[in-house]
Amino acid sequence: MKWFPLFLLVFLLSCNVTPEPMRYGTDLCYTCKMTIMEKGYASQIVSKKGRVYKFDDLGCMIQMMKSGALDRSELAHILTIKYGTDQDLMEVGQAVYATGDKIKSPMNFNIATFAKKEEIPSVLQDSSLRIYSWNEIYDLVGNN
Amino acid sequence: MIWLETIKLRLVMGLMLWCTAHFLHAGSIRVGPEQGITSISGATQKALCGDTIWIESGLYKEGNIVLDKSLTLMGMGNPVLDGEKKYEILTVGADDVSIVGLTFINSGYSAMNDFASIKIVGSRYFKIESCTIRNSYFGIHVSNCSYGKIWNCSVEGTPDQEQNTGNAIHFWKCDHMEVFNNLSSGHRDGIYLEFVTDSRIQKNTSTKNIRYGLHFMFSHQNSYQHNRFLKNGAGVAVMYSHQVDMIQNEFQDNWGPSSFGILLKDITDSRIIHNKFIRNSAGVFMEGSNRCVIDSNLFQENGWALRVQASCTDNQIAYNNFMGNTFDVACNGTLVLSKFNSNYWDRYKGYDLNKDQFGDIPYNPVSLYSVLVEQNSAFLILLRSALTVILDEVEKAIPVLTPIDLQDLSPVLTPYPL
Repeated sequence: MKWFPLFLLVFLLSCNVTPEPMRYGTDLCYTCKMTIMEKGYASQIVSKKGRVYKFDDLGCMIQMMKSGALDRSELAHILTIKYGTDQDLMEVGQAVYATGDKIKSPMNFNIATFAKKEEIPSVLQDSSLRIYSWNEIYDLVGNN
Repeated sequence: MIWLETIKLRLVMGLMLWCTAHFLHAGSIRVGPEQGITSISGATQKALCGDTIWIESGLYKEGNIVLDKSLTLMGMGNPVLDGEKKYEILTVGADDVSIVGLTFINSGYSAMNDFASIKIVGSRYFKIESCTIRNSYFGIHVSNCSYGKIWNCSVEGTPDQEQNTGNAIHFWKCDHMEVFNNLSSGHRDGIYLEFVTDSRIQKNTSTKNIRYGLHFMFSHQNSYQHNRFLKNGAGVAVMYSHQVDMIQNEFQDNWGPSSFGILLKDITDSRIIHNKFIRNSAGVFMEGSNRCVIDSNLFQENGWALRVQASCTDNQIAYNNFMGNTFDVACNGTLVLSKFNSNYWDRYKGYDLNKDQFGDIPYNPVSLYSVLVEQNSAFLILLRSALTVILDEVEKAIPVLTPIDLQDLSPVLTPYPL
């Protein structure tokens, strides 16, 4: 039994399903293979087995989810980074999403994430601003 | 009476010339610390369309200078325009603008606006020549423009502010751009094009940029020739574009766990000809790319010469030299719909009994070991071990896992003079 703590350690390590921090300039987007550089548009999926998929644009993540490459029941976390922050990940269902002329994301899906409507900075608020829930934005992103 | 006609014609021509000269008469304004006008903004306000502003050497701290007339800004003895880390230095919103021989330093940074040293918006027939740009967020930022020229400029950023750097030369929604003989380094991308068509990128050097040396997004019918891409995060990314010509470029030393010479992502009907890929992690990485021609290139000392994903179809890979690469070709499926022929492979062990210069047995560039590495990169630890040699020999005799269709049916025995 003296090996038990070691087994326990291995067991715990293998079940690590916490999100990873984004490494800007190093990590690649799983869908488009671009190096993730722009803060505030990136997103991340963590599977129940602990595998992390990173994306440079929320649209890339939605495309990947729609492609059927991953089983939805296998996913532990679907996360998106709050606009204007570099590591502030939040679950997609709890966020609101904005599109507008002043929002420009790396892959041109041009979606910004906010915790709530009131957090949208005034510089982005013009007539082109549209606000969506997660389900709406998921349906909006095309398969191409 | 022919001589009379001739004289008449000459008179009319002379009159026309005189008129043209009269109407085209352009003034010139001199700006300098010891001149009547000491600020560039003052001169641009005074100037009329078509005038030339001569800027004498000196340091100009004027915040943001807006150019809304067709003017020529001409530097004499290298004048320096300083943005003091706060301002966008020069904003151009007029047609027929030339900016020659100026140095721009320290443009401002903003998370919301793409501040640049030179920003050109909605201009036709502009020219930026022999300008030097240092420590900028974006170097030259061009949007909604046609028929622009950027020649002989040098744009260098400071790599310590890595993630807060923009692109050295950035184009968005432009057409007919000429980017010749520029140097870009220390920025996010050396040259970035998004929604740009009918443009030529030639003889530029991109080095030590954090992401890519050159980056195409949704940009069709462009060509880049005779450029050098050295030591960037990755060489060139060509994405979601068609009809791109990539000719006689050099891709060198783009090393990293996920680096490459060229990334082709969803590219169709393009040509990669006479390029040199030397010491890159992967020479060419292709995904979702169709009907591309990869012809007469040199692949030397790369980790992978070619990584062709199964989503690629109808590509022609011919007349290339593959020399000293760790893996010649890797792919992630067993069905490969691209054609390989008449390449030189230094690993080819065949023979040529009928002396037609082509090997008599086909060459399979995908080894079993490269397939295993593609599926699980931890296998790389076995590189150059006896086990992998045995595996490869067995697989050659009885192919099970490697794509059988992926064959060069006519490998050549001597390298091409490339």
